[in-house]
Amino acid sequence: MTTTTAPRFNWYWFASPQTFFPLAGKLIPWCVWLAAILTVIGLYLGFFVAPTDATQGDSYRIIFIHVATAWMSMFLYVVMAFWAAIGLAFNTRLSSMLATAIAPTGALMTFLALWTGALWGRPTWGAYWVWDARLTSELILLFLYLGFIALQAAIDDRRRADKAGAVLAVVGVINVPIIYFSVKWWSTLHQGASVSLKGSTMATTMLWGMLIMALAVWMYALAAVLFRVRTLILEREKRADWVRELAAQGKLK
Amino acid sequence: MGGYGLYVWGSFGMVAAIVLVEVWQLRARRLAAVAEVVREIARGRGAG
Repeated sequence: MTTTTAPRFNWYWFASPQTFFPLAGKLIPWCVWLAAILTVIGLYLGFFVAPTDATQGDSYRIIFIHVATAWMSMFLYVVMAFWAAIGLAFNTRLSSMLATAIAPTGALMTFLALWTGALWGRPTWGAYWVWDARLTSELILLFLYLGFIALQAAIDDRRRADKAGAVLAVVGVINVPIIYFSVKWWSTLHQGASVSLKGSTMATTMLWGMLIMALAVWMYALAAVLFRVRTLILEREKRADWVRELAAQGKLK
Repeated sequence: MGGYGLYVWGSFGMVAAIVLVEVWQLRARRLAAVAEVVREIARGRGAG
């Protein structure tokens, strides 16, 4: 008599580009829809429900996108460094591709955090830019992302490019706690954290608007990264049999 | 926006522009990758 056992769920199953490709394809529409719905709710709360701030007037409404992009710029860097380190340590192709896919979206989030911060700083501090510890460390984060992208682009051999980029990503991750704690460690013009594990100093509607916009940006970033990693898989595995089979079935787009 | 329209809309407008550019770039690169796969298959058939 033969016995059969039900297949157990195995995360390693998705470590292969071949199995991750369709999974990412299924997740993208969910992320896009969630991002769109959360954006509508977040903007409605931010512009129509949250009251005008007593000291900053309506200029504070920049917070609804500034905080979301600033959080995402740091979070994406940590995730990029994590996958880069996994790729470096275990030589897993998909991990390195994930790190490569995260970098452009991370760089854009960092640019947006700096841009929206500058436009918030002008009416509140009287200057678009100051060489403040928070702003300077965030600018360094942008250079780290751009350096990672440029370094990988400069090396023709993809495996070597992955490894070189991974070293830069892992070394650069030290900048993330510096950004986060800069407002505590140094005397900065940038305000301290409005939200922490101990609670929030903000009005409830403002806080909800900000958190929902942060979730919306998170979903958008996830969709963009998954879309990009699928493209990277196609570029790198274009000669693989499974890619040819999917092409024959019209399932590449 | 109480006189702060330039700053508020300048912020949200740039976010919208960046999202549009990234989505366009993502789609363009995907189409190029798919076209390359199709070319590879055609080359394989030609060689075979």
